[in-house]
Amino acid sequence: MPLRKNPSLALRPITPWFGDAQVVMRRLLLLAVLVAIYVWSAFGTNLNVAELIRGIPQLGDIISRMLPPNLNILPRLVGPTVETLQISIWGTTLAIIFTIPFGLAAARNIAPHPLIYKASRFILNATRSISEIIFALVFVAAVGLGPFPGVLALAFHSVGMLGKFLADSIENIDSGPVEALVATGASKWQVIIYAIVPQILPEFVTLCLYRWELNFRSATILGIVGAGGIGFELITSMRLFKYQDMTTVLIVVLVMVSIVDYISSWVRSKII
Amino acid sequence: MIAIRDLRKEFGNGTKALRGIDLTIASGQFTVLLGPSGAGKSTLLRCINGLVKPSGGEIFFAGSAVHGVKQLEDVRRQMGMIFQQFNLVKRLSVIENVLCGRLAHSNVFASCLKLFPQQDIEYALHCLNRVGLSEKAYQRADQLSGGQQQRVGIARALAQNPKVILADEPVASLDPRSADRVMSILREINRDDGITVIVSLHNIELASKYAERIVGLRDGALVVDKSGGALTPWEVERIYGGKYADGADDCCDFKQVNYAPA
Repeated sequence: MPLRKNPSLALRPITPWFGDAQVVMRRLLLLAVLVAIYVWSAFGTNLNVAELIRGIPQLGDIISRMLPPNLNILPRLVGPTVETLQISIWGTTLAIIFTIPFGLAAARNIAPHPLIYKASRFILNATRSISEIIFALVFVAAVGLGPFPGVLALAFHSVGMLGKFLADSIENIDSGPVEALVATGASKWQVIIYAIVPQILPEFVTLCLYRWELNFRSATILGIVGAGGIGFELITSMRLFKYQDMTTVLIVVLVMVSIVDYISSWVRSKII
Repeated sequence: MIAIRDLRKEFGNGTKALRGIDLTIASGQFTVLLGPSGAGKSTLLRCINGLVKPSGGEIFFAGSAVHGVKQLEDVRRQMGMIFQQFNLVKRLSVIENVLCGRLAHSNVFASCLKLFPQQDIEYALHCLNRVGLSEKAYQRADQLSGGQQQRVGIARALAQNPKVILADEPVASLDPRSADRVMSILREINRDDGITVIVSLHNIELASKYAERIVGLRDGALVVDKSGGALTPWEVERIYGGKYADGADDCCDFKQVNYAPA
């Protein structure tokens, strides 16, 4: 029995899978639990294949009404598209600015005090777990309709993810150079700038670019709750049953997301 | 220069790394700490510059006991340290790594913007020149070989303009030729600049070749202290164990043989 616990595969004795009744029982039990969870969730969500099949003709009907896309509205989409891009740029930038102090404070190895470490981790977890749409609803209520609440929503939600990754990468750095700089008598900020920043910078820049891609995608739906960008056009055309307009908006979103992804990966390849 | 009184260190897991060390190091001396791995050499060196906080005992530097953070930074500024794994910042250039040795002497705000006085830059180049690497100044540190990286480490320590250089197994990761080069640079610094050098080694040959004084450690205790000359077989066995270590009956020390798989 003790040998079974050995993590090394090479050292595991070769026994048939049914060789140990206890192990077989445990696996069957695990399987039963998993099946139970899936069945329970299926009931909770009214999972129903028949309904899906019955819905196919209607789906076809909607698609047929979406085609061909109404390209005449393209000029009208230029403004909201640019606005979406602007929202993503400022949302990401503000997030990066807020992330730096929180990320530093949430890294165990440089946090000034365990309580500050815990508090920063808590704030980062909290903002990460609240979706940008919910933030957008809150900020629309606070500062009114328009792109600005969208910027704030993206910034607040992004801080959670960026800060967590920043803190984790600071915790995973090679501690040797830090020790060496402390040994020279350098002050804490000098150690951060010279021993920590160079080690985490490439990873952090990559992360920020990735966050920008995600934020652009999110910015395309912020308009649905009145927080600016092309999402407003999307929801308007849907509400007015102008499905051909909607198709054009979706195409614009698709193209813009691809362009942003492309720019981001190009910049990344230039940096690393 | 450095006086150590009854220095003790016990780590959180109960390991007693140092069991009461008394040692006085004169200014300008070239001392080798010799001992097997786990003897406490690294811990002793790190206690001297406060990277490890001692559990007991006292350390005096230039006559005064080292207490408190401000005083510790002041002591560290006057002590260069060299590491087994070099501990350079790999993504920075060689010259930037050497300038790191000037940080404690620089204005915090300017240095955080990566601004250094012209004389510091010239001094850093001078230090690189002394270890024979001035032509590599603007390469990234991780492009250099191990021996070269260790010489950058020495240049960084030199840039501090230190009174003491502590070197923790500086040649353990190097091939014999590079090791010899690094050791002779350390000796040269010791002789020409009068810098006190304390080097930990586990290689008896290198120790006898370069040391003015050999201090042998075993299991956290000082077992040999010898100035000049080669170690006698008896002294070697005091440090590394064997038939003379704890009496004749200990000649086959099975406790040290570890059959457990790695």
